[in-house]
Amino acid sequence: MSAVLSWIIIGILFSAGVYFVALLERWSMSGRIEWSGPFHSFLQAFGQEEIRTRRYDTVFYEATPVIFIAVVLLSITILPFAEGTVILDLGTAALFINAALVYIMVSLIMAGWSANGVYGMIGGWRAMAQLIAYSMAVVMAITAAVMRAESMGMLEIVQSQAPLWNIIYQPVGFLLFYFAAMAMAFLPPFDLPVAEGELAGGAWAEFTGTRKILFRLGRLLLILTLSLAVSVFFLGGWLGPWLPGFLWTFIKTALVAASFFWVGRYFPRIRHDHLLEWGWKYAVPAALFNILQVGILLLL
Amino acid sequence: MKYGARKGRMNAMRQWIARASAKEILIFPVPGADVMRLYQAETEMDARLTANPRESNVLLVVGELTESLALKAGVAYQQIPRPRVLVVASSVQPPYLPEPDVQVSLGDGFLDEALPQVRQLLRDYAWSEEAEPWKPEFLTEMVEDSENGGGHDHHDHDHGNGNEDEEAHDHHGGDNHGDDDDSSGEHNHNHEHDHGGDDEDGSQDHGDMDFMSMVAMTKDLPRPKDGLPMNRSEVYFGPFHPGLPGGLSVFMELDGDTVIKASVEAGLTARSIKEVLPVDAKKLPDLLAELNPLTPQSYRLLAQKALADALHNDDSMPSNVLGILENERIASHLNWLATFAKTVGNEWMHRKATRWHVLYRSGEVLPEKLHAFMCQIRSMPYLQTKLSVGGIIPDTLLHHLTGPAAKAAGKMDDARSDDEYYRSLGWHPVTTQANSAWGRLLVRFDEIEQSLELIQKATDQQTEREEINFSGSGKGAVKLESPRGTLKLSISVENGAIEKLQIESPSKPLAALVPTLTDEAELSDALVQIASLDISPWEIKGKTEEVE
Amino acid sequence: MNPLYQYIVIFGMLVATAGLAWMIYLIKNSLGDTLDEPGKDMPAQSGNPSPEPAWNRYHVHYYGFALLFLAFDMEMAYMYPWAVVYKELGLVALLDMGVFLAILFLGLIYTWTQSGLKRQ
Repeated sequence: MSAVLSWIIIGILFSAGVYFVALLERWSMSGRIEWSGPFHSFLQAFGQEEIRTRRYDTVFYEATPVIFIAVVLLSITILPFAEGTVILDLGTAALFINAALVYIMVSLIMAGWSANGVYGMIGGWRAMAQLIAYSMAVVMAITAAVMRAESMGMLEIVQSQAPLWNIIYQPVGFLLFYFAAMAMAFLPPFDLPVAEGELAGGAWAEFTGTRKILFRLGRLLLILTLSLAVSVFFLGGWLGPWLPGFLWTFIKTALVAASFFWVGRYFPRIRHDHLLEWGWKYAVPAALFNILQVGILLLL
Repeated sequence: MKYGARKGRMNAMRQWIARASAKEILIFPVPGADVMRLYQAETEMDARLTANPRESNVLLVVGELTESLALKAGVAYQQIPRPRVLVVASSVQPPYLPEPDVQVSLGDGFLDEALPQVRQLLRDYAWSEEAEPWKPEFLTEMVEDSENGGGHDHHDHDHGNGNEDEEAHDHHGGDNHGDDDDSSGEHNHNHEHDHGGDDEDGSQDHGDMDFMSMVAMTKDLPRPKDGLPMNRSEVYFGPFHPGLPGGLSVFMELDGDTVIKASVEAGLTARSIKEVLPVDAKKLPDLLAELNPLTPQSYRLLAQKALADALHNDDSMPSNVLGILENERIASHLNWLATFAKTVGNEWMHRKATRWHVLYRSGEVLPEKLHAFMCQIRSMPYLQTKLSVGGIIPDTLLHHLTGPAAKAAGKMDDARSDDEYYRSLGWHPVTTQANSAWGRLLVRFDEIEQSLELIQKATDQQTEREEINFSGSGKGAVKLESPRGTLKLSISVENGAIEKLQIESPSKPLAALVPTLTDEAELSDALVQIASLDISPWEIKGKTEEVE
Repeated sequence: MNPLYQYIVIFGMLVATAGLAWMIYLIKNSLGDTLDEPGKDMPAQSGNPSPEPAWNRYHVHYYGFALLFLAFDMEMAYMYPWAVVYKELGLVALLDMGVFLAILFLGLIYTWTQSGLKRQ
């Protein structure tokens, strides 16, 4: 299969993935599947007026949505879809993805601050609390995967899982990364920054029109990226018996994304005190234990 | 759609976008989703409810609004980005709002009638040449007041603030304003006036030296618990907040995200019936039913019981009345649960509770499945931990309290204990020793289960009350257990007309609990605890006596 | 591709995204201006007018966690290169990093016992 053709197919599958995640998000909010819902939603936000709040912080307000969607697109470029099919095979990809996705938090804080409203401010600072809670889990889980692959490049990480997927080799790491990914995408039950019932929209409430589109589209892409990251780091990426590599990637990504929404309905919103406490008292020791376990297994 | 359309001419692309946006209707309900749920099933309509006016395109007014609520509804309407539609579902046009684009009468399924009209308006009039800015007096005054220093005494700030505000208010399509000066050293005016830090910023209104260090700003403020000098913000939560009962407005002073002071804002929903007296005794049930749109049947039964007591000295409870009362109890608790699920942050619970509420409103009873639903919630992971943080009602405040909040704290008072019919069915009040939002949730679930049993048993025995003779005189004082607590009504009737009337409602002591309950609590805990009290804003007394 | 070229591509992507966003704004501007109405630009506070700015000295209650996060983040910066060469170096690498992690872990335990890991 020629490179161009495979890229076109990947592009189509990717857009289908974004549409799928948008459908899932609408399903989680309203309980129904509306096939043309995402398009209507996009066009409705497009046709809305853009209102900027009084005395808003110009630089932050304009930059925030762009930063949000830009870092997500950057993370997609370094993630592999199939063997050899990656836009940029960065040597330090595992580090880069974490570094880029931290800007999600920066963007949320900027969003909360710039709109100059109290609800937004609280939402923004809660986003930082959430990052402090989940960040160690993410970084340490990625480190353990890197240890097994002896390299930070994504292709090597997937290839190192050829004998045994990481989900079985390091289950603790998988669980930590899974829930931390949900927290990173601020999905319920980790939706502190944009809590609907408490802050009436929170950090991104004051963004209307195209800026809101960039945020919402960025969040869908973020969910897709994180699902792809989970499947690359822990579920073996493109590895699988009969189907071509990229189909396996997309099946795994879709399953992980669907499970994000499904798992979330069973919990109420986690209080940010509890999130921080559990993140540091239980998640960090568990992550350290995970690194120790992988270290010992690698030496045997 | 003069005040709701965007200015411009319809061309092909705008037509296409308008058609697409007409299919996506996002409703911001005023005074709240819980009032709307009494008439329309949220889950079965083709539109979605939103939490924030910024992301909606329809403002829906359900029922009659008091003047202060209508003022806030006007502010919310102005904050909705165009194209926007105003739908009023009542027979009265509320003040402070423009002419409604769609007006329907309030009744079951009113939105099914209104939505096609809304769609048509959005499709055809999203862009219109006749669109005009809506500049009502109250908003222009509000904005001017804020430009003049926002109600505090330091008038030497007027110059600085006035200029900044004028620049910031001119919003046009692509302009960027040089707001960078403001952003670096923006001085906030929203802390108390008794601080010395303000005196030092004489430099502020010179225009160039806008920077004031945070240290200077917070020099003389009262310190929070850990001794760091920090600013406070003053916020309102409500009246149109998705996590609180519709119409309830809580004013909070926040230190970061800790609540320092909280109090329910008085006077928003006060309705006066003093001026209607003396009124025909026959009309009393309907009059009282209008007082609280959330539990009209309880009020109606209360009125009938009071009349029976006043005119016949007989306040027993016949069985069909019991069925109505207990059914309303179940419906009210489910309605509360739907709002509470939003505060707690679980969308599944919210959807299920709304569906159950619809079923109970329409009279379908499925006791086993409802029981299964409640068991699922009771065993939801983490819910108990989350709801058990804080929210303890101290014993000193328990005196006047009734209802599920008091029962969770261990107080077993219930007006139904005095009723022999209830006793004959083997009922006694429920009580739990968990004095927190979790306990109140459990008490309400136990009450629902009790009501289900009572309805089951009562339908087996049918008794009727004798007809009330409305002419006559007498005095009556009765109690009734409404879903939120004990209602007390005392009336005096003379020759078929009510001369004097006095109501005591359970929400007033509940509202008085709010400051103590939320002291030093984190914001989300404070909101959860307030929501768990189930305060009905229609029952809180206003600034002036509204019933006598 | 050598790394420098890759980073140039990444930078180019950033610029391209900003350009894409700008183009969407341009299309959006063709749809008409925002009408200027009084009260429209106050941040939505559930129906209450909120004319005052919200920028103030916000009291974050989680600074104990933030300090610990800073320490662990520095550690993670060292762990990334260690993880890459771990398998080559074998047991020595495990022991070396084990000592480092143990010291930091003791720091975590210390903060825990000194009640630094709660709401301040």
